[in-house]
This record gives sequence, C-alpha cells and structure tokens, in this order.
Amino acid sequence: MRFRLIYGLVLVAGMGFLAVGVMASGDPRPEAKPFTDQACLDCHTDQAKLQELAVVVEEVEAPPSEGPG
Amino acid sequence: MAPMEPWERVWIDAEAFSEDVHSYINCTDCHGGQAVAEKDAAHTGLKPEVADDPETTCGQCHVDVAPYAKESLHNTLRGYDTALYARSEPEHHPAIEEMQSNHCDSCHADCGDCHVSQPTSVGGGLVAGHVFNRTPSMSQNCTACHGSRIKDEYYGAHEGIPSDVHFKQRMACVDCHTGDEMHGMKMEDVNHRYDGAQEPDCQSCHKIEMGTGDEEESEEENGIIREHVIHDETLMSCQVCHSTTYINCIDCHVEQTEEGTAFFRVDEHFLGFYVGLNPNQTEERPYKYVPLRHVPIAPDSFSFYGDDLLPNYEERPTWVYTTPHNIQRETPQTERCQGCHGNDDIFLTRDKLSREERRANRDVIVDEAPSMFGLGN
Repeated sequence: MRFRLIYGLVLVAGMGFLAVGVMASGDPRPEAKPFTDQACLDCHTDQAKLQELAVVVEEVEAPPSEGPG
Repeated sequence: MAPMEPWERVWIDAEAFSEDVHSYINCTDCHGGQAVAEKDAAHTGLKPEVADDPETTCGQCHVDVAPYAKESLHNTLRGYDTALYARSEPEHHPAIEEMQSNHCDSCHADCGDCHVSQPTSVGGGLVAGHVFNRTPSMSQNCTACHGSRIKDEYYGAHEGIPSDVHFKQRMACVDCHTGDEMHGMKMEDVNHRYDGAQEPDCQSCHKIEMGTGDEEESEEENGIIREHVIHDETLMSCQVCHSTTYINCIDCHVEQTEEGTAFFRVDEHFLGFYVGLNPNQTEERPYKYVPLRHVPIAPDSFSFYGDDLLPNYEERPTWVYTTPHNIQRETPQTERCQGCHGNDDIFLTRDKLSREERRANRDVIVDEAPSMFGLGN
C-alpha cells in the first residue's frame, strides 16, 4: 500500500516536472493527434492484400547505361 | 542489390512498426492521400516524396536537424552545381538544369532515403517494414547510392586490389561518417563535399601513430611512426601514402532513348593511382599533395541538351581531389622512400595528359616527383 502511494506521488511529480519543462522550453513540436488512419494500416500491413493489389510493373527495357555510374 | 517485389516495397511490418514512435503519427500527415479502404481514393493526393522538404515533415519534430539536412549536400546536390556551373555560363544553366533533373536528381537523398526506405535511385522500397532506422543500412542505404566507386573500393571488389583496412575491421560507414556530418550540422554555405572541416578526420582515431595525441601517452605507447614525423602533416593527405589503385572515369555522355528514358555512357574507365597538387588547398586541407581522380566529364558531355554547354570547360581540373576508400596500412608508397621520391609513375605529370586536358589541369600537374634530397616540385 505504502509502495503504491510513493509510486503514485513520484509519478505525479514526474509528470508535473515534464509539463513544466515542456512549457518552459516552448517546445515547438506539434501536439500529438489521435491516430485515425487505421484504413491505411489495415491494407499496408496485409501482405496478401498487397500482393493482390500491387501494381505489376511491366518489364521495361533497362536504360542502356554503360560504365561505372 | 536484388530488386524488391512491388508489395514488399510498401509493406508495413505491423509488429515492428508498432514499437516505433512514428507509428503514433497519422499516415496522411506525412504521406497525404485519404484514410479510406478503397485503393484509388486512398491514394488520391498521395505525396510521392514525403520528405522533399524536410522542414515541413520530419522537421516538425526534428527541429534541430531538419533545417541543416535541408541545406546539406545530400539534399541539395549543390556539389554538382558547383562543378557544372563553373564550367558553364548563365545562359546555359536552364539546359544544364534540365539535364540534371533527368540524370542527376534521382541521387538526391532526403530523410526517408536514409532512415526508412532504399533510395529512389535504386527503386525505393521500405528497408524494415517502415521502421525508422536511426542508423542507415550500409548496403540498402549508403552503398545503394555510393556503389560504383566507394563500395567497390571499400569491399575490395576490384581484382587484385585489397579491401579497405577499416572494412577488414568490420567498420561500417557510420563508424567514421557521423550523423552530424551526413546532416550537414552547423555547416553553412556548403558548395562542395570538401568544404569545411575534415569529417571524418583520420587523426580523430590515429592520434598516437600521427604523434598528435597526448605526448606522454604517445611516448608510452611508442607508437609514433617515424615517417609521419618526417613528412609534415600539411605536406600531403593521408591517402597519398595509404591509398592504392582506384577507378577513374573518362568522357561521360548523357542521353535519352526515343521513349525519353535517361541513360549515360562512360566511354572509358581505368584503374590507377596518381598524386598531384591539391586543387582545394584550404586551412582545413592544407596539403600540397593529394591523390587525384579523373572525373567523368568531357566538353561535349551534355551535347544532347544543347551545343557547347560547357564553354568554360578548362576552368576546373578534370583530375580532382579524392579520398579513395581503399586505405591500406602498407602500400607501394610506404614500402620504401623510392616508392614516391623520384618515382614519376605515381605523379600526375604533364606527359600523362592528352593535349586537350593540359590547360584544365594546369594547377594540379606535378612537374616531376620530389627527389630524395629535397622536396622538388
């Protein structure tokens, strides 16, 4: 019980320090927004779907470059 | 490098990427497009090059790096401009720019080309399932672009020429080339890869051998190499003694096929090692002698894009300062004094140049090899 209390106090103090530090530094980084782009991830993490949808690149004759590039 | 399958190039490794802090950012924030299930609609408005302007994407969080990275040579390729415009005239710049956009600009590297995907010049594709690599992959990022000279030299791909000693010690590119160097941190007005301080600097690690470290430590280690003391450190770059044969290219021409596919043709290339006078003598690189490499340029290299686009061809040498990546502890130069002294074979003397190239290289040609009894030229 005592451990939880100490742990809680440390956690709150830590968050407080962090918040003060960020405000004091005028951190210009944008505020994190909730993730809403699940549709993109659903497709791009689905190997089978990507294999089905991937654009088949037509065999193009390789550019006739010669020598070290 | 084996090409990636089309699906593989855009496949996100859900497990690995979920551990990456960047997975908290909405995809469309960086990539544009729409977060919908239908493919065509999702890809409408997609940005092909996410980090073309690092400040508006990665720079939203990486505020300390992005402004410098944006101006770094990796991003601007300004080194090409410096070399080409010096040989040209302003009225030809539009034609030169068109040529560059067709043949050179794919080598431009933005944040993603080093930290997320393979460079566009080798077909792109996510390196590790969209995980952001703090340290770029040596094979899939660094040598994907720096392949024909640096990679082959470093790995010892040229028959009969050993790999770099640093490669034998299993050192990766980033062991010498720091993130600060790659991002052009704190550098301003950079126009050439040899602008500014030497990074990396051999002496950063080799203090004892150079006798530039702590004096007591050096004496204790007894590691000072006599030849380093005899040859003043401003006389020549380390590579003069510790580099060996490297590739030189002659007469590159760029053209397009009837379908508009850009291609190049290097008419000739050869292995050689030549020491000449330093064309970029600066406070940071005060050396009198440096190895010189022939660059693939000719007066009519870009004639596909217009006539006489390089009217000032002779204003820059075609043999340029080079730092080959094939460093050896022992070379023919270190074997004995006569490896260099009195040995015209390794110096870029007038007789090694065609008549057409002599004027362009007037500032780097050595009259004769230094004699044993004086520095000579």
